[in-house]
Amino acid sequence: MHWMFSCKDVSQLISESMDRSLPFYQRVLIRLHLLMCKYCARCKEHFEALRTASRHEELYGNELDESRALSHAGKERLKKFFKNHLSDTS
Amino acid sequence: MSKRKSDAAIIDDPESWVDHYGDFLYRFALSRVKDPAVAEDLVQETFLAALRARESFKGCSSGRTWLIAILKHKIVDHIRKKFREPPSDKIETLSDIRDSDFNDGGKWQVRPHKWAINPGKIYEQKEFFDVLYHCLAELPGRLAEAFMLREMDGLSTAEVCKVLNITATNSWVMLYRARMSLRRCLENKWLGEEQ
Repeated sequence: MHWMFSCKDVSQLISESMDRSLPFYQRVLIRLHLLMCKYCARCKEHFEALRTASRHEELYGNELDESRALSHAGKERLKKFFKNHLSDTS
Repeated sequence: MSKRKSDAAIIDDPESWVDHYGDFLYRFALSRVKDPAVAEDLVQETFLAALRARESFKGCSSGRTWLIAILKHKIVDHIRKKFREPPSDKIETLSDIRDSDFNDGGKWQVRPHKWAINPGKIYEQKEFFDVLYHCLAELPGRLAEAFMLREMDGLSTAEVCKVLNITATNSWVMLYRARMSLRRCLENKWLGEEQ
């Protein structure tokens, strides 16, 4: 890797920084690159949005339409399925 | 029955799962797949997978979170099958995804757009998860799996490596490719209206 990172390098390192801690000099060079390159800055923003949103899904789940529920027949089907499966495996 | 039955006690008693978690899982599935019959099937598949993997529930998360994590993987599998997009794990395909984003000098070939919605608040949009699940289903299977384990299930990189049986370096590369593809897919399908 050249000491001046390309956009390809930076996008990869931004992603890696979300999964491991990068050496200090790499963090500095990325920061410098981001100051000058709005596309890489956007890419970083998008990666972070993917993470924030994915981890917010549970919250979204709490706002699901409460009026939708399994039908009585559906519940009975599932329970029957369970009973059969448990008796098969026991 | 005690009102505050612990999650571990519920998980130990599969026959009570339908009453405790059935509706929530069903609603969640329905919000993604829209078809009540499919949603019910997905709940059943989730319970079956959970039954087989019961040992892996250690009470560290809530029973609901554990089951939802299983359900999410089932939803992506379902969408993939529905649209007959066979997962491809070929290395050539993976490098194609990555290389098409940049020119030979490592500069952006397809520049990231400014998203029409504030990226930090994107999850507030109802369409977001619909598009995300479709984009996940279009990814090569193992990339989608790596992304979901890391970002949706919140596993550490070390745990992801263990589940997928890959090295740390491999996991970084796979997660990078998954993020790049998803970013672009969201942009193409939904968000990339502004330059």
